[in-house]
Parts: sequence; structure tokens; C-alpha cells
Amino acid sequence: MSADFRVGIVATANTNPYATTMAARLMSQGLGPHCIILASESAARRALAYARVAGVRAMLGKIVQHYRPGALPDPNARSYLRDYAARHDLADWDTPLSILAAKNRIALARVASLHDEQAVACVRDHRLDLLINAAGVIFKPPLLEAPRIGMLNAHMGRLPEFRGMNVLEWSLWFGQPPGITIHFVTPGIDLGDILEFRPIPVGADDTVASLRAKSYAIMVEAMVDAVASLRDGRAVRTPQTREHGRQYFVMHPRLLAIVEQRLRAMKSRAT
Amino acid sequence: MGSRRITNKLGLLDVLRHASFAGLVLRDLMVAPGHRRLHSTGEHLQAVMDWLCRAQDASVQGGMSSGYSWLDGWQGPYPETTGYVIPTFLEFARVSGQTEFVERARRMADWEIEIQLPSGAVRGGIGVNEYPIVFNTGQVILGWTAMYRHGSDPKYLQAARRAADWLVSVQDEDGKWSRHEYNSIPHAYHTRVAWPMLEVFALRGESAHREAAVRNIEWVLSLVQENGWIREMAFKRTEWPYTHTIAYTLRGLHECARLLDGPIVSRIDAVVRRACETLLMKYECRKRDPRGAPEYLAGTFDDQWRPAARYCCLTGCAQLAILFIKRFQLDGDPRLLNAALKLIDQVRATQSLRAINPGIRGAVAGSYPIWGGYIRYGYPNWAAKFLADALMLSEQVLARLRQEAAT
Repeated sequence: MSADFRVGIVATANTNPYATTMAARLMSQGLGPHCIILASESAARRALAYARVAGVRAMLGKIVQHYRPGALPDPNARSYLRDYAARHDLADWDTPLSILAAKNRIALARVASLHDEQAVACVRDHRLDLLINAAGVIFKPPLLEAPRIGMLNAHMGRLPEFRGMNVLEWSLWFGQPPGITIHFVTPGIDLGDILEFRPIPVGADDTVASLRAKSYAIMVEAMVDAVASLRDGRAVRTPQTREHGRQYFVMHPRLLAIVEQRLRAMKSRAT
Repeated sequence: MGSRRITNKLGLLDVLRHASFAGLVLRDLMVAPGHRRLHSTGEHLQAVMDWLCRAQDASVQGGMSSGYSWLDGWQGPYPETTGYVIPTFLEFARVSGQTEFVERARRMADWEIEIQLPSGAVRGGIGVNEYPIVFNTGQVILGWTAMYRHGSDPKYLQAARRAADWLVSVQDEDGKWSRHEYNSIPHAYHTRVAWPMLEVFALRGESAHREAAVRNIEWVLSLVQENGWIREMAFKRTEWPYTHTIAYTLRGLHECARLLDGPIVSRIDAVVRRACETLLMKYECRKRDPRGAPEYLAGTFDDQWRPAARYCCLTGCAQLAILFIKRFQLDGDPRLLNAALKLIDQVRATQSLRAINPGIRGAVAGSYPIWGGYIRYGYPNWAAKFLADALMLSEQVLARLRQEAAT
């Protein structure tokens, strides 16, 4: 058991309730975090990059979404995180990361990009044992190799079967129970060692969107438990290989509609 | 001809030839196709079928115009693709209940018989030329066999049989077709000739047709490299293949596996499955935003499966979508269906359903953007045909999935 187990969080947005809830819960468990690395690409640069990919109209929509307080990909996620924070008495769960860091004397490193040497140097300077991914980007080896143990990610599906994007939806497509997997991040897509799987309970009123929303709170709890198990030397790492599963991609809306239909049928059979 | 080549090179000058051209160029320049409004599948399908009808009507002889070009307007009739549009018309008549498409299909099939060469071969090129072409012969057989299956009129089967006999007679010993072929070289996409020969075998049971098809497939399998690439897929040896001919090759293999039995089937399937997986990854991973839609698939690939063009070959996308759906039906891998739906959406997004110019309204261009290297500034009838096929097939599969999900 290590008394001085140093944890960092990487994020790409200052307003990120998932990251702040994570940080608040880690603090409540005495697990840090010791450092938050925030990639703060200029808003104009990000907007331009997005417009190039998605067009001007979509970019404007994204800006509106971004400046809504506490915006998450799904607004329902906020209510599940609020409930989670209330259950665990986490006061600062939805403050911006910079304010949370200042208030709790957590080192905050603003870097231009998570791929920069600056980010790697920050991990080394703070002698971090572990990084937690709250950024949703694909990382390059220098940053992954910088912390003593590595970087953890909460993946919204079961590994090794479902790698890649929209894996909650793909799990449901195959009639598999939805859940999240805590795993190490490696240069391959979702190919690092697995620490644990935690199911997402499916309720009578659940839709794909509500299951996604629910998963954020479950990801926080599973991640905090995984960090504790690593700190205490209890963690069991299960390696995976590419052949154990498949990489999935963003699901087409027409297949998503079929998944919703299957979910409804599954629930009506259960009742 | 020389002046046309110069105009083609200058390209931009063509924008001035018609107001609708300038509008299309501006659209391709300014609006990312992923963000154009898509109409319902039915509207896109009807629009593309209406355009195919206009292409047929543009050709007085009964065949179908090869397409519409910004440079010359409607082109002459194209025996090759007129042949393989026939099954598309029959299928559309079935799903839409618009029976006039059966009559149109019959007119095309009869025209193909009228101009069939005495040897049994189908004529090459656009218009009614005197030389035979192997590939074209195979494609027209697909039309005749579909017409025969539809109405059991023996004249279509007879024409198909004569054509298949000719194909047997001009095949090389090792299974390739090196004579009477485009650019006078054998092509891996002759798997799309082996396939119609197996269709004729299925209807008539003459072993010579099956044996010729198997010989060709064996030859194509001998071209498969370690990385799954198949040599000779291009029109010319000096250029990389378009996705159009890559999809031709793979679809031919897929259909042959469906019509054959024995150990060769698993060998063919392994080649097609691997190529589909490679193309799926190339397509889905080509994006700037990990959560966004993939970019348009490159129009050509090199022998290391690297994209080798900065434009998209739209007919290739529609053809790959069909192949992916057919593989999904066989293997059940939903990633293929998923990618197919995205490919179809991207092709649909390039269609202009409101254009004033009837040569453009509902058509599918050779390339995206329109000035890309495949059929520059042109709308080939085969791109329209494959989009229609893809739309009908995807709707059929989605309807089945919806039905299964409800039960």
C-alpha cells in the first residue's frame, strides 16, 4: 500500500461535470487528484477545426451547446451525476475544473495540447503514478508512458468484445447487457489491460440516451474503486488482444432506431 | 476531340456552359455533403429511377444513354450498362408497384438481342460498334437472365446462352480473358463475367459454363497478394484501380461463392471477407472528428490499400455499400451494414433533387467533387443504377431488422 499515490486527471474542457465529479469523489476518498492537466486549445481554433469537419451550422450549434452551463453530450447525464454527488456529499461536482483546482489546492496545468511535450513534462514534474482520462481523445505514447503505472479510461461497453465508438449501442444490438469497463490506455484503440467491468442497470423507462446518461456516474464510481485498488496493490490486470473483440464505429441513426426498438422489446419481455 | 481534351483540362471553363453547372460547383465548394439535407429514401430512389428513365428516353434506339456530361449532354446508348440496369428496373417495379418499369426493362433486353453480334458477343463501347468485349458480354447476360427469370421468355435465355458460349470460346487456357477486352489486358474484375456464366449454368446446367467460371475464379485467386490486395483490378496497368473496379472484383467473387459449392467457396469467402474488413477500416477510420462521420472514401487505392486519390468515386461507394450489405446478410457483422448506410447517405448527399437541368436532377456524378478524376463533369448511368440497387437493398434489410426487433 502506497501512502503517497499520486493521481492526475487529463481533460480538454474546463466545464466538464464528469471530470469534476471524478475529482471531487477522488478527494473524498483521499485519492487526490494531485494534478489536473487541461488542454486549452483556443476556442476560435477549436471552432474553426469543427467547422472544417462539420460545417458552419453544426459549429454554431456546438457553441450554443458548449456555453450551456454544465453541458455534457447528453444533458440527462447531469441529473444522474447530481444524484450521485448528492449521495456522496460532493459539493463541487459541477464547478469548472479551474475553480475546483484553485479551491482545493490541486495543481492545474494548462497545456496547448495533450500531445505536447508540456503535458508529458507536467506528469513528470508532479511525479504522477496514474493518469485518469476525462478527455476523450486518442493519446500518443509519450504521455501514456509518462506516469509510473499508466493511464486509466472508463469505456462505455464491455471489453474485450466491444472496442471503439458507440459500444453501449453495439452491446444492445447484440443483446448484451450494457456496462462500463475500466482499462489501461495504450496506443491501440481500447486494447489495454482490463481492470473491471460494471453493468449499467436497465430500468423500465430506459432508452439508449438514458443508459448513456446513467453510465457517467457508474464510470466515476468504478474509476475511483479502480484507483483505490491500484493504490492498495489489489488490482488484477487482465490483458486483451485484438482478436478477442472488434472495433466498432459511430452507429448510423437507422441502426440506432432498431436498437431502441430491441431495447423496448427486451424490457417488455422482462415485464 | 483535341479541343474537348483542352476544355476538359481547363475544367473551370465548363462551369460557364450552363447555370446549373456553376451552382453545382459552388455547392461542392461551399457545402460539406455531410451537412446537406437528405430527403427520404423513397424520394432519392424515385429521383434516381426517373433519371434512369430519362437516360433511356434520351437514346432513341431502346438502349440506355451511358450518361449525361457537362461537355456533350446526353451520351449515346451503352450496351454494357444497359444490360445490367435491367435487373434494377425489374426490382424497382417489384418494390414500387410501378409496372411500366417492367416494360422498360423488356425494351432494353430486346434491344440487346437486336444488336447482339452473330458470334453471341456483346458490342463494346458507347453506341453500336462492331467489336465484341468480354466484360460487356457478361454484364448483358445478367440482364437477360433477370428478364428470363421474370417472365420465362426463352428468347432471353437463348441470347444469354449464346453469349456464354462465346465467352467460353475466347477464354485463355488459364482462365483469364486477355482477348477482346478493354485496353487489351485481362482484368481481375472479370469475376463479374464468371458470375453471369454461373447464372446461365444455374438455368441451363451446361458444365462448360461452370467450368469456365471456375477457371476464371481460380485465376483471380492466384492474383491475391499477402495483404489481401488483388492484382489487375484496374482498367490499365499504369494506374491504380478505382473503388468502382475493386467493388466489381469483390462483388463478382461474392456472387460466384453464392452460386458455387465445394472447397472453393471458403477460399473465395476468405478473400472477400478480408478485403471488406480492410476497406471498412479504411473508410471508418478516415475522419477528422472521432465522433463524426467518416470522410468520403478515396476514389482509388494502391496495392498497399493506401488511398491514392483526393476525390471520391461515387459509383464505387454505392457498389461497396451493396457488397457490405450482402456480406452482412452472410456473416451478420453489423459494422458492414453500418458503413454501408453511411456510404449510401454520402452518395445521396451529392444528388441534386431540385436541379432544373433534367440531365442532372436525381443523377449521381462520377466523382465527388464533380471535378474529381472519375468521369469528370459526368453522370454515368451505372452510378445511378448502383445507388438505386443500394437503396432498395438497404431498405429491404432494414425492414427485416425492424420486423425482427418488434417480435
